[in-house]
Amino acid sequence: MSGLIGKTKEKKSNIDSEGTLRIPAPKNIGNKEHYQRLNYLIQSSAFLSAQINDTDESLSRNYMKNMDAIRKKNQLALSPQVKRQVCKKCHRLLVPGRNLEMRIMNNTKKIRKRDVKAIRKSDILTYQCACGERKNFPIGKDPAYQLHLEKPGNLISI
Amino acid sequence: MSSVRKEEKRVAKRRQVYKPILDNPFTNEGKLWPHVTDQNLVFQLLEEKVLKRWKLLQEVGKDDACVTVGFNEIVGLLSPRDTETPSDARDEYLLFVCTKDLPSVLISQIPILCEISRLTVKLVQLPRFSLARFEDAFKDVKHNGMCLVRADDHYKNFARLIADKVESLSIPWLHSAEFQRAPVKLVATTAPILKKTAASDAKKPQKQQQQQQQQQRSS
Repeated sequence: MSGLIGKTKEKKSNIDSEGTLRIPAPKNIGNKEHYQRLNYLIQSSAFLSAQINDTDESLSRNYMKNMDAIRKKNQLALSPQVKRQVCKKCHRLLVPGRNLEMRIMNNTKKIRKRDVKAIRKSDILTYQCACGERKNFPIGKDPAYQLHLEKPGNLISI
Repeated sequence: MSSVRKEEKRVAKRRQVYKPILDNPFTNEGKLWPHVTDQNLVFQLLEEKVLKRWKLLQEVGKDDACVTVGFNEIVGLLSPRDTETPSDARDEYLLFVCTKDLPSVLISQIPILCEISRLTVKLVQLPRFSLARFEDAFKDVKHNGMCLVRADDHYKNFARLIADKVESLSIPWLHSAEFQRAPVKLVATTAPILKKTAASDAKKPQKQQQQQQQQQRSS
């Protein structure tokens, strides 16, 4: 008996070194039907955009517009990769070579030959949609930049 | 005795929160980029056959016509245009990209571009820290961590050796309708723990009283 009393375990603290209370990840999520609906609309839009040679892409854009409306109404989150692939103005699914032009721009005025690294700091990647809308990404500012999702351990698959 | 800091850490200020997120069924980078069986050997071959040759030619003051360097130049060459296909379109092309050292937004569309392009392109991902070797070889030339090599007579053997080590590119959603299951994932973040204080509890009834007074005035 005395041995058993000695083995009583101390409760482990769930608080980590940064003062954050650690909670295990849930096994299920709510609103799964809504996410499935979004997924279906994205894939239908991609199929129409890739398979049918239609310059206007009206049906594909309509699906994407629906998807965006559902997402906003139900407060659902999309990954940044999805959001980067859709034009905010015309709701086109951006496919390079078809409706997307990619270019690295640099608007520095004072260009000194030896200052190559300084010039690269102001590199801006531009995605230009067929409608003329642009998305700018300042890639030169911090080349090692990672999204919160891209950092290891932050994205958990169910 | 424990320090004040340790005591502070015992009391949690933030808690972990999991938020559901819909991932892109098409931009799974692990699947997009073709697998390379021996990355180090591939990089050694690239260094010996292409980078060193480029360096030597630059010293003499010449350019290697088969090698295209820089994001804008490569994207311009690969983008399908309405004009006739170039005369060298029959040749195979090898596109080397330092995937591990570049921001993901810069390289995310490259595999799709290679698949859509009229040219036959073999996409090769390079190991981590290969960008530093690129810097050393290309120096002042803007390379953006990628170079495109046209496999003409001079680079034919080199291309054959590389092709054996690299799987072919496949992006099924561009060619067929294959439904993918909803890739719903969880994002781990933190949120502050808001504790109920006596002051905040006292404020609530005051607010309610104010609202009631306003309603009475309006009526």
